[in-house]
Amino acid sequence: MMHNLYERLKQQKEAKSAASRPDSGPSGVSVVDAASVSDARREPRPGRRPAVRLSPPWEQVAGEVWRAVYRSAAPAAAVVRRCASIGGLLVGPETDPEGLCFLDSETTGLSGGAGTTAFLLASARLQAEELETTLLFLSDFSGEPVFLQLVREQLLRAQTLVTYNGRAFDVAILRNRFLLNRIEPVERQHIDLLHPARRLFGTVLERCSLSVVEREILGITRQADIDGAAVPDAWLRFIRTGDSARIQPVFSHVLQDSASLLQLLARIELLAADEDGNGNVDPLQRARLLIESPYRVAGSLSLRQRGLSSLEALACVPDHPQSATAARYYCALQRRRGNWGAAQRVWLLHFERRRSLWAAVELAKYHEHRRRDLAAAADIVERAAGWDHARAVQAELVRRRQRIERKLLRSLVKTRAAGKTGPYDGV
Amino acid sequence: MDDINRIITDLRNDRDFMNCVTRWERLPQRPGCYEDLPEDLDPRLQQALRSRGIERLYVHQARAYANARSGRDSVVVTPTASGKTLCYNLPVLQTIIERPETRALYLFPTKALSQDQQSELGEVVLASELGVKVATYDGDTPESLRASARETGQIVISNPDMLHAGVLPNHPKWIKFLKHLRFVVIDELHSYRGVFGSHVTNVVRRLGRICRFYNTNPVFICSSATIGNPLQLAQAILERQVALVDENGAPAGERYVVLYNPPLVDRVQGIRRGVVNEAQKVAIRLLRERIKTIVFSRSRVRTELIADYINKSLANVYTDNARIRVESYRGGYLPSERRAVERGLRDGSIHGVVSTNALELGIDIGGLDAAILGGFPGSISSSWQQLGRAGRRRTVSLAILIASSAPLDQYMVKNPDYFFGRAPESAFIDPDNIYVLMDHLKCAVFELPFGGGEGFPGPVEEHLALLEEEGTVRLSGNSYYWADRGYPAEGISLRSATSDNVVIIDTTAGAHRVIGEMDRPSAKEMLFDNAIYLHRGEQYVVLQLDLGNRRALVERSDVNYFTDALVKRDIKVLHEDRRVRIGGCEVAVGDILVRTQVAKFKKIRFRSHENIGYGTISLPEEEMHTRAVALVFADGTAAGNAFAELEPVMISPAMTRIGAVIRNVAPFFLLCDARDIGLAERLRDPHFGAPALYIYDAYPGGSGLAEAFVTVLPTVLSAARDLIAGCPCEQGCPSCVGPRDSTEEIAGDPKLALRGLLEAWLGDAQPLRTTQAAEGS
Repeated sequence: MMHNLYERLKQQKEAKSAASRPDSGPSGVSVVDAASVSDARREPRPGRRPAVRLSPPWEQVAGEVWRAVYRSAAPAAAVVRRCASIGGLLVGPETDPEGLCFLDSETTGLSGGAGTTAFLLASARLQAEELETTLLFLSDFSGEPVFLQLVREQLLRAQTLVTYNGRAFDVAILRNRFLLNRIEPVERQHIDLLHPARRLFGTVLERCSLSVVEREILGITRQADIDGAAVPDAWLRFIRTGDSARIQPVFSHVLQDSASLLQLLARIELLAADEDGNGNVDPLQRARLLIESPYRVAGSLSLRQRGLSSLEALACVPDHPQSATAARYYCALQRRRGNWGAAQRVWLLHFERRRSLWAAVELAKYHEHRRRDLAAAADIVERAAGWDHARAVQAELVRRRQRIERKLLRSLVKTRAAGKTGPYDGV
Repeated sequence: MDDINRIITDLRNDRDFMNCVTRWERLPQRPGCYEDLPEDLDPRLQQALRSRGIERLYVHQARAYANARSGRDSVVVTPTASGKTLCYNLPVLQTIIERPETRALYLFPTKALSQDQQSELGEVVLASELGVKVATYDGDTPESLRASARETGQIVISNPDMLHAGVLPNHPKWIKFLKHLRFVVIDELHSYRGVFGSHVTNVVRRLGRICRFYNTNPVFICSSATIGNPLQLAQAILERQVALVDENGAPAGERYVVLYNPPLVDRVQGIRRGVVNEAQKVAIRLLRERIKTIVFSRSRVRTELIADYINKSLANVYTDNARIRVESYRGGYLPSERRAVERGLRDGSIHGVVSTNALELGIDIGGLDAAILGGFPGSISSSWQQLGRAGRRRTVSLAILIASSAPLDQYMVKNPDYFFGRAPESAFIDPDNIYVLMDHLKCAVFELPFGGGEGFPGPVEEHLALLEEEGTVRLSGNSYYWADRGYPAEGISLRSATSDNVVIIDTTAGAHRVIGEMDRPSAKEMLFDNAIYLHRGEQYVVLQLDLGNRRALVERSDVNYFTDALVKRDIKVLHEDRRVRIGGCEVAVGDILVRTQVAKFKKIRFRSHENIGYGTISLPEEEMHTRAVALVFADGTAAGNAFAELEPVMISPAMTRIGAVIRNVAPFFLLCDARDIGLAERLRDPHFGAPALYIYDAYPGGSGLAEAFVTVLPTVLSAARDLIAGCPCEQGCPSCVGPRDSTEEIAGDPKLALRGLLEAWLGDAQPLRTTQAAEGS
C-alpha cells in the first residue's frame, strides 16, 4: 500500500516535470547539466557508502571533515601590498595585507534558504610573495558542526574578507549555518568585488559573473572546469557514491576562484590608479567608481579628484560617445556641490557644440532661477527653439518660453510702475 | 428606526408578498453579557478603548483575553459583528506594551488583496496610536519593505501560503521575530478544512518545530465562524488541547428571518420568477424606505445585474436618486474601490450593497438593517453568516432568503424546519494524508535536519525513509538532511486554485486604465473576446483577452444584452493503474485529465433575460491532471445489472444521485471537504464502454483522496444505504439523495429507487470484500 503510493508520488513528479519542461524559461537559458541531475537520482541507494578517500594534500581532520593547504606564486600580491601602504580604491591604508582573506564557498543549492549548506570553503591569504589557500571540505552532512568550527577559525584569523557576491551569498549562507548549528557568527569587514566589477565592466561584458570577468578581464582560461551551477549536483552525487573523482573538479574550481579574487582585486586597484591604460573598461564608470571611493587619501591627488577630472575630461570632448552621459553626471555633481561655474561651462559647451536640448534646458533654468537673468534665459530658449525638434519637445520649449516671457512682462510692469529702468528696457 | 418596523408590518400585511413566504421566523432579542475591562490592562489601552466608547468587554472577549494572557490556546467562535478582532488584539497589544520585544503573527486565509483590508481594521489603528508596529508580509509586499517587516514588525500580518513558502524556509532571516514570537493568531479557522486544512495543519507543525528550535512556544488564538465542530477542528489543526470560547456576549436586537419562494409564472412547467429580478424588487422596496440593505448573490454577473437594476430603478435626475446610494462589491475590483465601499457602509453614506460572498465574513462593514440572500448559498453555515449581516445591537432587523428554482433552494424554502433545524456543517481534515505529509516533510527537512524525537506528528520515520530512497533527503549520522539542490516549498501549493490572474484594462478613447482583475479560469468564462463585461455599473465589451500577457483589453459599450459563457466539462482517462471489484461494482483507479472548455456564449437581454443569440469562443481549454476513481457499472456485475434494469432514461439521474449521496457521506470517511471532491457521470463511457461515475480529486495532481476512496468505498456505500433508509425526509433531501428535481426523469420516489439500487448492488457482496480483477489496461 505504502509502496504503491510512493510509486504514484514518483510517477506524478516525473509527469509534472515532463509537462513543464517545454515551456520552462526562455530559450537561451541553458538547462544546467540535466543529464547529471537525473543521473544523480538513478544512483542506487547505498546501504553503506564506501569510505571517502582523498589523496594528499588532503588530510582528514575529523569524521567527515577534510583540510588541504595549497601554495602558489602570487605576483599580484605586490599591488595589494602597495595599496595597503598608501591606500587604494578598495584596500584602505589601514589594511594589513596578510589580514585579507580571499573567500569563496560552494554550496548544496543556489537558491539560499535554510536548507542550503556550504560544503567547501576556500580561504586564501598572502604569505610573503605566495598565496596560501586552505580548503575545508565536508564529505557528509553529519560533519557540519566540526566543519563550521574550522570555518570559524579561518574567519577569526581574517581582518577583511574579499569575496565576489559574498555579501548576498557566501557570507549570508555561512551566517545561516552558524545560527542553525548554534555557533556564534563572525562579523568581519568585507570587500565585495561584485559591486566595483559591475561598475567597471558591467557595460562592456554581457554578464558579470566571476567566470566571465576572469576570462574577459583577467585573461584566465580554465581547463576542464566544472560549471558553477553544476557544483551542487556533483557534491550530492559524491556523498552518495564516495567516488572522489567526481568531486576533484570542484576542488580545482574553488581553488581557481579564490586565486582569481586576488587578481581581480589587484586589477581593479590598477585600473583605479590609472596604471592599466589598455584595460577593457568603461571610462565613465571608472570615473564614477573613483568618485564614490570610500578612501580620501591616495598619493598626492585623491581618487575622488582624479575621478572628477577624468569625468570632466570626458564631458568636455563633445565628440566622445559617452560625453553626454558624463556631462550630465558631472554637472549634477557640481551643481550639488554649488560649483555652478564648472557646471555652466559644460552646459554651454554642450549647448553650443552639440545643440544639446538637455544643456539648453539646464542653462535656461540656471539663468532663470539661479541668476535671475530672464533675458539670458529667454535668449537660450529662443535659440534652442530654432533647432529641429520633435513636436512634443517643441511644445515644451514654447511653454517654457511663454512662461519666461510672462515673468519678464510682470517684472517690466513692476519696474515701470516703480519708475525704475528694467533689465529688459533695451530690447 | 421606525422605518424597519413599518416595513416589516407592511410586508406582513402584503398578501402578494406573504403568499410567497413559506416561513416567517422571529428570533427574539438577546441582551448583552459584559465584563469589566481586565484589571491588568494598561491605562493607555483602557484610554484608547474608552475613546472608542468601549467601557466594558463582552464576555467572550474577556474569556479570550484571560485565556491568551494565561498562555492557554483558545478558539473563539463568534458570529459576524461581535467584536472578534478585539479578542486577539487586546491580549497581543497588552503584552507588547509590557514587553516591546514581543512579536505576534496574524494569519488570515485570504491572499494578497484582503491583507491590506485587514490592516485597516479598527483595532490595528489602535495599535498605531500605541506606537505598536504592524507590518503586512505577503506576496505583494515589496522587497524594500520586507527586511523592515522582519526586523521591526511587532505584529506581522500574513497568510499560510507566505508562511509556508516565504517565512519558514528562510527562518534564519526571521530569527529576531521567531525568538520573540509569543502569539499566533489564526483568523477564520473554519476556512482551513479538507485538503487545504490538512496542508495548513502541516504548516502549523513546521512552525511549531521552528519555534522549538528558537525556544519559543507561542500561544495560539483562533477565531472561527459558527460551524458544526469548531473545537474539534481547532484541536485537529493545532494538535493540542484548546479552550473553547463560544458564549457570545454581544447583544442582538430582534430579528425576522423569512424564507421566500418567488411566484410561479408558469404553473404547468413550474417556472418561477428569477432570483435576480425578485431580489432587486424586494431590495428596492426596502431601500426606498431607507432601510440599509445588503443583497448577497451567487455569482459575479448576478451581483452586477442586481446592483444595476436597483440603480436604474432608483434613477431620478431630479431627486438625485432620492440620495440613495447603492454599490456593488466583489473580488476583482481595485483594492481602493473596495475600501471605499467598506468605508461608505460603515459611515452610512452607502445605503445598499450587492455583493458576492466576498462580504460574508471578516470585513468590517458595520451593522445593516436587512439582508437579502439571492439564492441559497450552498451551505447552512454560509446561510447563517450571510443572514447574520443583518443585525443591530438594539433594533429590529430583517433577513430574507429568496429561493432560486434549483432543487436545493426549493427544498430549503419548502422544508423550513430542515433549514432552521439543521446544524451547521462540520469541517474535517486529514493532516497525515501521505501526499500532503510527504510534501511538508520535505519542507521541514529543508528547514532543519530531522533528528530523533522531533515530535513531528504522524508516521514520520517511514516517510523519511521513502524520501531517502527517492534521494531528496539523506541520512547522515543520526539525522535526515535535505539533499537536493531545489527549494521544496516553491513547488508545493497549499490550494487547488491557481494564483494566475488577468488584469482588466479599459482602453476607451485611447486611455489605458486598469479597472480590475480576475483569476485565469474565470477570465476564460467572463472575459473572452466580444464578451460583455459588467463592472461597477459600467458595461464594457472585451476587445481582446491576451492570456499570454495576462490582460484583457476592454472598451465602454452600450448594448442591451450581457453574455453568459456555456461551460463544458469533459474527462479523459490518461492512465488506468488498476481495476478492482468492490462490492458488486468494478472500480478503476487512475490518472485523468479534467478539461473545462468555454466554446460558446449566450447573449441575454437585460431585464427580460431572454436569450437573443449565440456566439463562439476560441480559447484553449483549462486542463487539470488529477487522480480519480471510476465506478464502472459494467454488464455482469451486480451494480451493472441493477442499473441495466432501470429505465434507460433513469440511468443518468440515478448516477447523479448516487454521486450526491457519496458527496454527502464520503467527507466523513475521507476527512476532507465536499469541495475537494469532483463528480462526473457518463452514461456511456468511451473508455470503459459502460456507464461510469467518476469521483476525482479537486487538487491538481491529486492529494491521495482517490486511493483513500477505494479503501473506504465499501463503508461509504453501506453508509449511503443506511443514510437513505434512515433519513426522515419523504422523497429525498439535501442530506441524502438530494432534493426532488421536477426536471429529471426518475419515476416514483427517487429515494426508494436509489435505495433499491444500492441494495441490489450491495446484495451479492455480503460480506463486502475486495477482489483483484483485471490488472491495468
